[in-house]
Amino acid sequence: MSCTLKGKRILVIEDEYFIAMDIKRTLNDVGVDIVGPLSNIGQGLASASDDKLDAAILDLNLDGVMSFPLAERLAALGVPYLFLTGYDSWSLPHDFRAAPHVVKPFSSQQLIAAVEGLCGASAS
Amino acid sequence: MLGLSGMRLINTMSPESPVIFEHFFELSMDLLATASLRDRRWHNVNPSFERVLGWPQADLMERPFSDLIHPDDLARSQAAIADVEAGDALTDFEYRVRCNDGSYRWIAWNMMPRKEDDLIYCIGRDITERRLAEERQAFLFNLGEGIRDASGPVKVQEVAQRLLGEHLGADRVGYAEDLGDGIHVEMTRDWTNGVPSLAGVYRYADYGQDLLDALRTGRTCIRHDVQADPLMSAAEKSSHAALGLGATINVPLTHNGKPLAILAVHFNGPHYFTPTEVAIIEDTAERTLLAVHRARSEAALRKSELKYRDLFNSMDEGYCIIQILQENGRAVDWRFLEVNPAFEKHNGLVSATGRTMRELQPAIEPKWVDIYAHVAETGESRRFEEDSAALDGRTFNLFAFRVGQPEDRMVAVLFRDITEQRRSEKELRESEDRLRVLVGELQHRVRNILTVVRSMFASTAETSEAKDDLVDHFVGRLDALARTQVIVTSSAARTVDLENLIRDELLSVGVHDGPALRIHGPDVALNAKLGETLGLVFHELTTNALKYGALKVSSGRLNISWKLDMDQGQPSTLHLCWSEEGVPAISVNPSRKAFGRELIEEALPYQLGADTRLEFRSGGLRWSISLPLNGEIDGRV
Repeated sequence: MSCTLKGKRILVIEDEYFIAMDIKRTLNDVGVDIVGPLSNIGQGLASASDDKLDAAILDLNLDGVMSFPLAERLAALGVPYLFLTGYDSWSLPHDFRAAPHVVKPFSSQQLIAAVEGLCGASAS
Repeated sequence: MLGLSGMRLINTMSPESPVIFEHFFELSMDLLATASLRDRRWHNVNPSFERVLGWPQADLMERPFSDLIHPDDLARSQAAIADVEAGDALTDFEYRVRCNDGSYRWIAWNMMPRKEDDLIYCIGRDITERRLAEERQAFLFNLGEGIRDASGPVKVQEVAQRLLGEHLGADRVGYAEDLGDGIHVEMTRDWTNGVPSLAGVYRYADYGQDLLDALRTGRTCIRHDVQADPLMSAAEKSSHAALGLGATINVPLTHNGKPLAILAVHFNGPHYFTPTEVAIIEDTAERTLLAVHRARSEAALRKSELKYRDLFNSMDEGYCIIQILQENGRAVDWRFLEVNPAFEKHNGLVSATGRTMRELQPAIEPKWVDIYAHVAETGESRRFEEDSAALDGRTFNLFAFRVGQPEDRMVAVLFRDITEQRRSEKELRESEDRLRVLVGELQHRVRNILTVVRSMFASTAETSEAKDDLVDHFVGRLDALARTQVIVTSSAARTVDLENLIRDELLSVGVHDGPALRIHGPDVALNAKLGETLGLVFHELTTNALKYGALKVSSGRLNISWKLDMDQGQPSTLHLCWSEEGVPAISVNPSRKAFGRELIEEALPYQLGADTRLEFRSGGLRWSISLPLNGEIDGRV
């Protein structure tokens, strides 16, 4: 299971420090090469353009700023992404309702499975 | 034709008069006569006297002419004749002359005295027909006036009965109406000349066969002298006598063969109904019927109008009748013909009746005229909602429909001002939207905080050696989080006052104001996230100070102060310093992995972009932070 993610460059955008550290810890444990974590959308947009990314994990609400512009940018670049969200999907805008998402609070296993799903989808 | 024997010259025609005048005297249609200038007696009369008045010439010879003058005309006639005797000619002087049968005829006279003959020459013309026609005209005129001024069907009957009775000198006049069953008639209120009233319900059959036939055929039934009437039975005569009916006339009024009413005129004794009288009675009957029916339908109309007027006056909706006004065949405006009291409340137009829309509000939008003109032209009623900037930006719900004839271009409009309704609907929608956002926000925060708690627990567990330590530390941090949540959620603006946040934390461990504690800074309202994070930081610092620092030793002092940098009137950066003094030994420098240090040194820069410095100096710990506010205080989440 951990083999599939080894060496993948995955961008993490999450404004809550402790959550960001949790994700970092979890993904580091399975050999992921973390880009970030970053706490705001500006840093995220810069990173999306500069880094060769395999996938991205986006917190939906970055201290009141929605991460949709970054999601659009990633989609344009062909980088698969998932949302981390405290929201149920009903409050997502229509265009993003189909995007994969992991609902907070989440376990390590849930997160890893979701990220594997992203990378697997991009590989096939 | 008169024979020659009739054309003789009578008595004292002047011997020198040509014979031709004698012929004229005999042949004239007019009354020609001579009278004695001295004694007011007829001297000579022509044959017309017999033809017109029924008097044989012989009966009038040497007879005083006052004998034949109607008593009512006598005084003025004699005065006029006195003038003739004095030598004046008299022209077109009218008085009534008694006929041989007792009736009177109106004669207009020209008279001329001639002293040398000792005679008055007289020419009279029968003007009875003209006088009667005039009388009838005058009566009908009065009747028309009287009926017109009468209010209601019963009053109409009363007026007609009285005028007719007085005119004829009758004893009773009654207008009776068919009750619709073809059997009964009802005389609501008759007019009498003092004799008893016969008002009541009657059966046609009781009037006798002749009357019944007359009614069926619509023929006027006249009995000049009931007791002498050959068509009436003895029983009928005695029943008439019992009611004091000497002469009667009954005029039936029918419509398509259906009886509607009867007008009856009664005399106590025999009375000869002249053709003129009959005509007048028939006219009166017909006019009364029409007037009664008109009054009745007017009353019904008034009643139904009143009913609708009550409705329109009392209803909540605005109501008006408008007339489309055109210029060069194009609808450009409208006039308010009628408005109800609620009208003004709904559209704010005062005293609109009789005025045009453009007079009242020149800026009225053209769409309104277009809509109403369309309704007026096509007759299609229309229910719609529309707003008008010209009418204070109100929104209306309206129903417009054509009334009257198409050429009247009249439209009735029922409407309601729904501005408030729309506004509250919009507000409700907005409030629902806000609530939706809030619920989403709340969900986000709850899940976030659970995630934070989870991470906090993991981090606390990693750095705690004993289980008791873990429980103490974790519960303390959880309580700190909970305190901040309580403050945030109890404030309407969902903000936390910085000083309160600090005092609450200190108070939770029993630290009160005193010489050892100084808290100083301007009012700062922190949003929920800042409050939550700083709350945890103050908790870590307070716990540390209690265990190892300024709050542990009696010599220790704690000074917490802050200030704001302002940018264009808005706070831009918060500079806060937590400074401990008088702590004798250098406190234990906690490991970098400790939750408190990670929070201050890693989390604050990461998630708040803060610049922090934690120093462990001799005399005590000092923590300083510069926190960019990005407009995130003053209640904004």
